[in-house]
Amino acid sequence: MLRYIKLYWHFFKLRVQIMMEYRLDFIIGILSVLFIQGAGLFFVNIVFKQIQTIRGWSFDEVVFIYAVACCGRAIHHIFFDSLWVFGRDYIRNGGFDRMLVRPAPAFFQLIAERVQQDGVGQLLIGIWLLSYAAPTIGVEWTFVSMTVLIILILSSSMVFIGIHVFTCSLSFWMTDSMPVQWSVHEMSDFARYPLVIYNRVIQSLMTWIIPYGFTAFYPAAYFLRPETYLKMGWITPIIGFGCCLIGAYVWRKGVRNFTGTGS
Amino acid sequence: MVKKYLMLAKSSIHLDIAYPAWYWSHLIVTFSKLVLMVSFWSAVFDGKQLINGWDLSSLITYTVLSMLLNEYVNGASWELSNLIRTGQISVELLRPYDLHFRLMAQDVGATISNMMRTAVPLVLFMAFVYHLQFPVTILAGILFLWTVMVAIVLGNLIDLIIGTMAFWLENMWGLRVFKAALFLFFNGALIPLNMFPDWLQYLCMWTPFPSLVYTPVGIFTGRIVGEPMWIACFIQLLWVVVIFIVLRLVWRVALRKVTVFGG
Amino acid sequence: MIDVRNVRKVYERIEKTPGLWGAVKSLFVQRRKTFVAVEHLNFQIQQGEMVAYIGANGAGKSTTIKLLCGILTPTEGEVLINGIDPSQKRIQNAKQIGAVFGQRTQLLWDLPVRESFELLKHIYEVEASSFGEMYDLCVHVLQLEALLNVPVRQLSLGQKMRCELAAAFLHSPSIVYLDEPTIGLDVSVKARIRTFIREMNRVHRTTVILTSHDMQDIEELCQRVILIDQGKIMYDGSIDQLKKEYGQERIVEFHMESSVEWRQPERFGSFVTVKHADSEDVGHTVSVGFDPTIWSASEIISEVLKTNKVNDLKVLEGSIETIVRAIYERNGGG
Ligand SMILES: Nc1ncnc2c1ncn2[C@@H]1O[C@H](COP(=O)(O)OP(=O)(O)OP(=O)(O)O)[C@@H](O)[C@H]1O
Ligand SMILES: [Mg+2]
Repeated sequence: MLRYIKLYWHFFKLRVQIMMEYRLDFIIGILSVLFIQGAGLFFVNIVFKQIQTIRGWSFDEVVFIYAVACCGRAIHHIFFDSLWVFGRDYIRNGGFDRMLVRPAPAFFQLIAERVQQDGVGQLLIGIWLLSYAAPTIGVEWTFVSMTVLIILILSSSMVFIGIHVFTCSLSFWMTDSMPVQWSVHEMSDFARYPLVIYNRVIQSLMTWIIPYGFTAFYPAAYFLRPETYLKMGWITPIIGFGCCLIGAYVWRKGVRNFTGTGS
Repeated sequence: MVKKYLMLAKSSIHLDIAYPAWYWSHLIVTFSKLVLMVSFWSAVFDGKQLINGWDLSSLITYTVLSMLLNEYVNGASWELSNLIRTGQISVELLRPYDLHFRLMAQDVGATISNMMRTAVPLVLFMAFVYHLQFPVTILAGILFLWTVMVAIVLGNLIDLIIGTMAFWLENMWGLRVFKAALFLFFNGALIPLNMFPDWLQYLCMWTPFPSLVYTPVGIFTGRIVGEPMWIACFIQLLWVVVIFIVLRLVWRVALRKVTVFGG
Repeated sequence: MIDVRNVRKVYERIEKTPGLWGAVKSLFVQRRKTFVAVEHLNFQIQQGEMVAYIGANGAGKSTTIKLLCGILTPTEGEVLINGIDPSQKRIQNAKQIGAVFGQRTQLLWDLPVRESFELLKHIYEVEASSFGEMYDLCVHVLQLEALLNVPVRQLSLGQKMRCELAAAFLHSPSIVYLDEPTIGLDVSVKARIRTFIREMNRVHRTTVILTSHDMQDIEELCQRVILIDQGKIMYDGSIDQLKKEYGQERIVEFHMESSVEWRQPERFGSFVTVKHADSEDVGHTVSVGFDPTIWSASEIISEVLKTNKVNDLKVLEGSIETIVRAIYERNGGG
């Protein structure tokens, strides 16, 4: 374990070095994240100019949900960015072969090879939004509530990670699963609103099939409406773990398939 | 002369069909996004008759058409940037065609084939389930088709400028995500532009983005009628010319870079 | 020690139906077809041996190397590298091997070569002292001093390949797999790389398994040759024996107009093999293969010129391709 932390640190330093080679990219990355998050919020803002609440949820509450989503996806964004290019850069071009002849788990090498600085901006926005929204909706910052919030945000990112590892692993069978990754990931944008605005089918889909509901709505609702959503809040970490387990399982199967067929 | 570009357009239809995974996941994700957007707006209306001059039915029509159109006002930036990144560009420049026209021809070919296989079935389905409205007048219907075509060309030209940035940037991914967010927000695909606050509407008027989606769909749904309609069509064409000139200028600067660095 | 027992590897391919209709159909159904890349592979390689693994394009060389590295799992049979099954205990196996795959790089594209080497030290958990020793040796023999601070993307092919080679040896592996390490390189870089490989083998008793299409690579480096054709081993033995048995044949190629008919010299009888091929740019080509202990090239040429009108001719040396072809023909293929 210690060895991998050290090794990751080493990769990380190199990554920062590369980042410095491309300063312009760095700035564009930060700008784009600011813009994307800003635009999303602005959209919500415009909608709430027209109506006071949406199915009983106020603007500030929606912002809080948004903030949780922001933090959760930021962690995924920062550390797991290489999953996106796995098919194109590793399977198609044979870069994965190189990982298989080195003495470290291939998944570790894949993850360690990239750190996405853009995600840091997202994390900061998320934290800023949390601190803006929390007082307006009466969440008190105690040691306990802070700890719970952090655990829930970590679980949220685990849901993102688990689902993404799953869709990414499909590259082992279809060479480049980018389209599937993208399609599934796009769904997560819609999980940043109170799920109750959707009909039952969509709700259960987002809860039990592609559980993006646990990336924002349920963890946030645990603070906003504990009467109704206490249980959903508590099972969020379990869902997070579950997603990662399934992701890991499919990844392993994928590697086995890769070494089996070599496609 | 023109025939060679027509053949290129046709060849890309084949290519486009050659990746079933892309097709299906695109179809599914587009469909889900439409359904989610429609449920979102239904929740916003929630019994209200009018919001900002829109009734639910015309807003749904607007949303379906604009989100679909937004998918097609893209171009070959990905391919262009890959050519640049891999150095293949020097080979392309030796070929007896204009690279921009070639990329555009191929992209338009793929766009048309994809529209036939994705957008048309989806519109029919949505029309059946959600009772989409017909164009307000026959003239509006005809102008809609015309402005859609112009929008696709305009979107292509802008995208080629983005792709050219690969001469200077490494992180094309970030730039593309940024562009996608910028388009989605300012071309009116996410939310009709006339719901924006006045200052932002004014700002948008000075960008090419509204010409991409808001103009065609606004005409279709009767938001833009009479004299403004003709002005909007004119402005759209004007942007095509302006962006084309910009593209050629940027390209010339970039090519100087190729000759300096030897590809 | 490498121990390969009765290994067979089957690939699966998706069949693409041609045409627009085929493309539409493939949206719904895809047909798969299996393809045997290698079978009945059996060989042992001892520590410190240098072995050339040769064969024509598509013969299955890279597939075999991938099986030995653990990148592919055999469909049947068993591979043991120093007692370890590489596809099951991949990481454990990875520690003791090094690999170079053609033009695929394992260096970090954007950073100076030095950084990539440094990273490898951490990945392979090499002791600083032994790493330093190896590092100096590599830098010295491959003459890398001037390259160490250059980002990899700015290196030429030959410079990159020298760095690649160093990267494969830095952690003192007991076995190194080199899949076409000299592809596309000039004569002096090739010579340097060969010197380096020989030096490594001499000093560290590194086992080297090499695939190459360059006869000289093989003659200079390897005592033993394994020849594979269409997935099966056709020859396994010393290089001298190989040349004695199969490398005898030499070939003279004659190019002539397609309209002109070939008239076989009577003296040839059945001692000489004659093959015909047509192509658009050179017209009709006739390859005459002969045994140099009986004939000389000039005899063959003068015999042919007596009876035929020839535009151009070429004398081919005993390349791997001709050896492979000779073996293939001798074994009744063709
Ligand atoms: N992933 C794969 N899927 C299907 N078939 C494959 C795959 N990889 C290789 N093959 C096929 O297996 C056969 C052996 O390929 P291999 O790469 O081992 O050849 P090689 O001896 O290395 O040739 P070369 O000299 O051209 O490098 C070829 O016919 C090839 O088409
Ligand atoms: Mg090969």
